[in-house]
Amino acid sequence: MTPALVALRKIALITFALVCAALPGLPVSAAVPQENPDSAAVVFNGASLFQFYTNILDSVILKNQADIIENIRKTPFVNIPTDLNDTINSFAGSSQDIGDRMLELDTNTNEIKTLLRQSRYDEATTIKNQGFQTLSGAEGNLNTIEQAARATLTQFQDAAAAKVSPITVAYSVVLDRIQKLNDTLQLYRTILTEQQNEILNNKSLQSPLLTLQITPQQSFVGDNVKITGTLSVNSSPLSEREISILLNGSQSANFKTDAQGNYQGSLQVPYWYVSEIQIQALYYPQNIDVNVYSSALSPVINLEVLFYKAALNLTTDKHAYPGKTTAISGQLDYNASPVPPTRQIEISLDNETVDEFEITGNFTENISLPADIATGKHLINVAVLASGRYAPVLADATLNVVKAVPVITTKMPSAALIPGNFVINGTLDSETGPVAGAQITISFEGNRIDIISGKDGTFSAVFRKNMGFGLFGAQLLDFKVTPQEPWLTTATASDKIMIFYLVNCCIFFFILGLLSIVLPRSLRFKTRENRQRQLSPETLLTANKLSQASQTAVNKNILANNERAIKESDTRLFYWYRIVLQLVQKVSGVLVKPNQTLREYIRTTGKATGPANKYLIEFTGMVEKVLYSPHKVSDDDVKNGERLAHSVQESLKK
Amino acid sequence: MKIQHVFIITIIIAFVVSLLCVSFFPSIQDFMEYNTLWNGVRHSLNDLNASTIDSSHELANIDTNNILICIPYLQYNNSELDGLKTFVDNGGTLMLLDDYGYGNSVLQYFDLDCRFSGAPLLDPLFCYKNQWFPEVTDFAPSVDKGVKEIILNHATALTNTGKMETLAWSSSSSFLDQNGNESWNKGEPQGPLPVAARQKLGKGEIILVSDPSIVINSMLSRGDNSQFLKNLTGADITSGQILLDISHLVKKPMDITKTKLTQIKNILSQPYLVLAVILLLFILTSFYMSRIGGSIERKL
Repeated sequence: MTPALVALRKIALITFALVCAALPGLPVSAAVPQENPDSAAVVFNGASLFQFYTNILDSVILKNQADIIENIRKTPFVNIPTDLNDTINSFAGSSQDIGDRMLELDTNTNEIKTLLRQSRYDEATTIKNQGFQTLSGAEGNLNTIEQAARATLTQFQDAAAAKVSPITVAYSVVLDRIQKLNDTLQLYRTILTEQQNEILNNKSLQSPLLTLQITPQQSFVGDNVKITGTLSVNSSPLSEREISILLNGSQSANFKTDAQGNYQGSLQVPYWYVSEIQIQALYYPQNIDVNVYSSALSPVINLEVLFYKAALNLTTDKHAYPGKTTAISGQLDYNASPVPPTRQIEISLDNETVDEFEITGNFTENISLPADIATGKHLINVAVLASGRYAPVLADATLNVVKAVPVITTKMPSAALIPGNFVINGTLDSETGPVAGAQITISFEGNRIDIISGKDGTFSAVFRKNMGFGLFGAQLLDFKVTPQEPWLTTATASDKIMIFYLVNCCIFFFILGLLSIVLPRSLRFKTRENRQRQLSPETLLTANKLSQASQTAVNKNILANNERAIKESDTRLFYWYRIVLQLVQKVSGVLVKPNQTLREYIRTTGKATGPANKYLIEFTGMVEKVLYSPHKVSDDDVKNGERLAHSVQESLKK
Repeated sequence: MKIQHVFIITIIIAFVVSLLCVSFFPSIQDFMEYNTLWNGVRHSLNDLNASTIDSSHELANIDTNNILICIPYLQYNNSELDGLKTFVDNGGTLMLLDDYGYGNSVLQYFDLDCRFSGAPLLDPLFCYKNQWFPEVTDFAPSVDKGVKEIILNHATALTNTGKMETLAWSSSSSFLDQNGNESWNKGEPQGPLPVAARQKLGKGEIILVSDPSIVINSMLSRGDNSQFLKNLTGADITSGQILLDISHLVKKPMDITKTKLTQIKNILSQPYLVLAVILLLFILTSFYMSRIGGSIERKL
């Protein structure tokens, strides 16, 4: 194995040992404050899920719709096995349905109660039937809830295997709530059944006949219509009985029948801006009529309601700014309707009234926006209030609240010399006009200056840059603008400037110039020194005697101890021979190989050198004689060498 | 080759290999900016367009337009606390994310009654995977835009939030596991418990979140954590206003070395240093070449 390979092996071994020693120094994993969510164990908690079921059912029992909805909103976030997704959705859906149905049943039973009090048995029967249907639906929901609870228990059956486990305890609480709900539904069934019995018991009462006429059947809001009708039982009039007029089912006016059972009166059409109102007359027994007659309802008559409509077209500014006013414009189009002299307007921003005023036609109103209003879309509602025959007009528009971005325009030299100053001028502008009083921070290479913009948004700064280590190059100037006004946002910008570090450049070019002079000289000197060392006869003689393998080491040793003077004649001979060799290299294009002797090289280039080859062989022989024998170079040798060199040169020229 | 040469070359190779290891091995320490793994903040910093500060000096010179996120896993000294207070008083927003660290000493210095409980917040029902990852679904209207749920990771809760504006609450099935037995026992506080709150202080404000893990790479993208953070700061993330103080995080030697390496890289990228290196190489090459000489000279 060569010494180089041994050294390489040593280096590799020691490096490996050092790297191995360093590895334990690499970081180890961190402790508890967090856990890798990707590798975290999945753990489901059945008891908590049943607790959640209980909470939902409690909300249903308490008829707390808000709580039911809130719990159902959270259902997708519950950590449960995927298999239970349908189950929990079914539980939540049925809970919401049963909650709604229980509220509906409350309404039904109360309505029936009121109707029974007024002997309105037919209407009560209709609602009772609806009630029973709702109840059946609720019972179906409860059944689904129970099944979902049971399916959940099955999913956690391993954990629930123990007789008393948190899951079985929690499940028993759910069953208790289901039982309570079942009891509640049974109570509803009892109430409805009792109400049904009451209706059946009173079905045998006499039913009066009630008629109703309206003149005209088409009227403007606020105008009066004439109401007439008759109340009779078996063609006999019922006198002095109170008749209620129902508008869309709500009691609105009362009239009394005369001796012939007729009633009449005037009814003002309410300011309901709808196309139609359903009108009915109602009689229900009071005082002595109770338990004698049942109630009576007239057929429904539709009154066509007339009023003036208008369309409102709103326009807002493209952008609105916090702390500034923004214009809202509206155009009212009455089509063929007469235009009223004035209308009252209400403007709301995000459902809060911000302005009220009177208009005479189209309008443009400036509203002030709060300084702290969030940027983004905001809702503007404009209501033209109802006035007599004129229906209200509503329109909305979106207000896009933004913060204006200051635009920085700078004027500065494209290049600057350091050390020195340079002036930066500029203006700050925005969609809302010049940015006055804004703080401008200019940063450059670690230096920073703060200035304030003027009233017209202009600014000016003198930048003083201290000496650095650079030479030259484009460098960035960073601008940051912090405005005072709430409608402006902070802004940043950058600009480039060419910086020349004058002193550094001078020093650098001076060094470079110095090096370009000194280095070639030094190189030349070094080369000559090396050459002289290598050409010393002692060196060459010794080298000849030593084997080729140890030649390099010996040469180095000899060169290191080379203290003897070199003879002028040796140098001159070798000088001419080197010139000849360079010529041969140029002509032949063949370089001397490391292990080639001079003789071998001349032989290799024989074809290329042609007639000059014989001079080359002679000259090489002379040089070899000097190199490999104790022969001392004489002046004749030098002259001969010079002559041969010229001959080679001349031959090669031909 | 002499043994001295072997030793020197070995040291150089080992040094270069170590540098390469430090450069290419990702940090695995919690909250480290060079850590691209689950517990680092490298991706989060990119998402939030945030940068880091790593010294008390930088801490004392933060522009009040910035939002400073602090994870106090190391104690702040008085001058640093003073710097934080001045920053907030002058209009800065300080977001203190803590669970089991030194957040309470900051709150105490700010003279606030609110505290980080320090007990684990567990939620066996509304959670991601297990009760150590509570899911929060109740938010104040000021921060709920685009946020349906946030997921915490080994979090705690806030206590005594009295005067503060509570921004998020854990579910009613959550609890503080004060005795560490991982299940609820009588006397342990039950949900809903505050997990985020804020209060105006001076010209600025302080925002508290009872779980710093919300910003780690593996958590920021879970649920609506990222949007929640953006809503909390109210920052325009394109302006790069968010700063994360990493000077109060526990660091391993590798993280320190990485930081130093980056600093050295930054210094070396200065044009004058590049120039100096080129000049040095030029001189060394010239010197070497002058010693070698040409091939003919070697023959003669």
